[in-house]
Amino acid sequence: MRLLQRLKEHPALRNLLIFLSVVGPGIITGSVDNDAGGITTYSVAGALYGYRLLWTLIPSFVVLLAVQEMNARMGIVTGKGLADLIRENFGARITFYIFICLLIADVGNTATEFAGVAGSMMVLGVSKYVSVPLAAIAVWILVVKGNYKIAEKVFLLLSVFLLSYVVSAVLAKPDWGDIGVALISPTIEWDHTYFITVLGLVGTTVAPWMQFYMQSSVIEKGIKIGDYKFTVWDVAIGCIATIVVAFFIIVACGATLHTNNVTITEAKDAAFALKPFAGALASEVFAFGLFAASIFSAAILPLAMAFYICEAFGFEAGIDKKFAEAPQFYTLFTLTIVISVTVILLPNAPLIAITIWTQVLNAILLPIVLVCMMIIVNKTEIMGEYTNKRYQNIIGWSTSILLIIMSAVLVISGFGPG
Amino acid sequence: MSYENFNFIYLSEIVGLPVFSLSSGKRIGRIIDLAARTSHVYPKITALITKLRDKKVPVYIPWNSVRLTALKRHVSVEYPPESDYGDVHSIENEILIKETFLDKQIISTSGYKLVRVNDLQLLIDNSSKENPNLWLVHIDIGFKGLLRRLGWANVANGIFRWVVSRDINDKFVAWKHVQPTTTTNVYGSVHLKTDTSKLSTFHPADLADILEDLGTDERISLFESFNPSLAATTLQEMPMNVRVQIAETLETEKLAAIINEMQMDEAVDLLDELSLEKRTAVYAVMTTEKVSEIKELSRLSIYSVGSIMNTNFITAKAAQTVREVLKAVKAESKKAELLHYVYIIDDEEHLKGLVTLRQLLITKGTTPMASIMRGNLISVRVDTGIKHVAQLFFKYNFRALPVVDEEERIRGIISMRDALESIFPEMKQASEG
Repeated sequence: MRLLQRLKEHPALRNLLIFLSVVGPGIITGSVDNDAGGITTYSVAGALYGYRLLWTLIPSFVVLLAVQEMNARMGIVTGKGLADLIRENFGARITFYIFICLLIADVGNTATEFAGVAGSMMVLGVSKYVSVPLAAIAVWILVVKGNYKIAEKVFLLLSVFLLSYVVSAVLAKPDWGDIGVALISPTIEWDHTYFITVLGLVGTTVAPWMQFYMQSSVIEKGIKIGDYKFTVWDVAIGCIATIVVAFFIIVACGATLHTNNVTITEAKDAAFALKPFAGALASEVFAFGLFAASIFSAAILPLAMAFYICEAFGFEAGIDKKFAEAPQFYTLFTLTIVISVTVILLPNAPLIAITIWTQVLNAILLPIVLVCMMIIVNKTEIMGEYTNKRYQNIIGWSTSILLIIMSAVLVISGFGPG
Repeated sequence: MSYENFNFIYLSEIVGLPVFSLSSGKRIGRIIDLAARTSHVYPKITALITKLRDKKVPVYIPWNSVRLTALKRHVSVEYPPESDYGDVHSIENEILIKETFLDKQIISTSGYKLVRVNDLQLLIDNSSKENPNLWLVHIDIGFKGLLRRLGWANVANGIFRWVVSRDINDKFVAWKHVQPTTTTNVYGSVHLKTDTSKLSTFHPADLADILEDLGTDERISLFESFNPSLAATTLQEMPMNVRVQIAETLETEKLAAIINEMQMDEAVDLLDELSLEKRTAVYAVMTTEKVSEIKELSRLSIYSVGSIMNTNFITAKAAQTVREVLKAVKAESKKAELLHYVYIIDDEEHLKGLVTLRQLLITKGTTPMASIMRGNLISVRVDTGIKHVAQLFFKYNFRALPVVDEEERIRGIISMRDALESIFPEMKQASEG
């Protein structure tokens, strides 16, 4: 410890130590982002368009980074969650309707995660009637009976498994030259499906609940404003991880499914379909990645949602409290899991419909939440000297406007990808 | 409908009401907030803050120009009002109640926790002959208040009554149990110095929990209103990263005053975590004596007793009488961490023996220490490992052990609590949660 003290005085090492102490929120959020819904969208896009949509990852990255950085900054400066800030600045009514939508979207998202668990375990030969209830119980116990610090470490570890998509992609032996060209030269096609798929890609990368999650985890960490620059690195690494994983999923599906004209509608189809083209290993690795991502998000989404709702409406919340102390919190959390598991276990569950409607709801919510954020982050009485700089406002507002247009289109056309 | 029919009104029923001019009978604007003076037992409403149709800045319409002709539907005022928003009328303790409370968090001093405000309940006092007065009496934190804000109160209550045949319960915090976390006055300036006298009954651990849950600004403005000793005890109950967050935002003078009040070992821990600039600044305003003491403690290996020992302890000379020593104990009682033992030393501070508080209390006042002190003490050296010390505590069941240097001079004491804490740091963290 004393040695640590001495090391702390060394500038470079000191920086590294501080970085390690603030790391987590960005990377975890980035990983939760690549959940079952995300993997589905990327797989479908890869199968349908090959490498032609890879370029969308670059603007997605910029948007993701800009949004997440604002949340981290708001969290550190105000010490308040996004739900708190929206409630205090826009009143009870707007907050309530935002959260009703978020809650419904969240149940849908969680259902998609459990569908991911079911699908991936099916590839590995396990029935969904076994895997889904077991996964739900495991998630519930981990969160309710476990300790958040342990849970966080387990989650960080799980996010490493997302790199299994790199393995899948390499096993698929793609043509790296084609990929390089596709990445830097956008090709825009003026047909409906193409447009919808692009919307889906951006929409799944920047999801509304992430903003709430990001901001709360920064506060949870107790990061001080002096260490803000390190948090920006954490956020950047998280965003890069998100985009890299997305990239390899598209590549894996593009190199195999697209080349052989296989179309899919679900992530597990991708895992199945990979088998004849890239071998059983690639297929199993893909399924395993899907499993890790799904269970990771299935734990975090309901938990986070229960938290924000309680935060905004003044109910007691927190996994360190007993049921009697925080009944609303536990009820919300448990109910979300129970409903989504039930939906998945129903024979003939309307999975694709759930996915699409969840995406539509997300698409409506995202611009609303973004506009709220942009207004709050520019208020001097809240952010002090840390309001948005000019370039941040340009990126922020153009992102918001772009997303509003895109969401409007998505909602009007009423169809998600796949 | 006239105001005599009801005695209570909610803020949500007032905000947004149209305002009519008495002279012209025309609609001139709408209510956006109420100003209240907090110097009474309950805050008394002193003005309507009104957004006029033809003015950008809201106007302050004093209560004596208001005629509550049909409260819940509209109000009439003498217009033009006597003064504008932000004029001489607005004195220091006049706050905007919507800005200050609605949707914000308050501390309920009866429930010892943070709650979110859904609505405010005002009492309509018809006792005066002229205009009735409004008093802020309750803060609504219940679900019913939330439903009212959403405009669903009647519908929801109807359904509720149909199902369980009673109304939805109200959940109020009475004004005397309300501690605001932020205050906006009529000038619109926020985070004013808050009167925190209502928090005096709180245990520092509860205060620490509440502060941790607050936003940065509210946390600092509440914390700054604490006196240094309350601030010090509260700070010690928080996790280290929050302590550092708070310490780094405080003014140096204030921080130094708080650190002065902290137990030595805790002060050293905190200073170690501060940035170099802040630490240097704090050292600059503290007495050189204290600074060298802190630096000495900080220099000692973290694995040895020296780093966690407490340097506030009570000593006496062998020749002193019980009466003298008891007096000294009283004088030291504020600073010393532990009162149970008085250590007997010679002129060179060599540890000679020990007298317990119990002995002092039951022995005649004129008895000298020499005749009641216990010699042959078990003591530990400054560089003894903490593990070994903990073992001694288990073996002998002492409350504290004296810490001596190479020449047997007493340098500090170590309490069982401190020894246990440093062996099980994770337990300490968990309890601070």
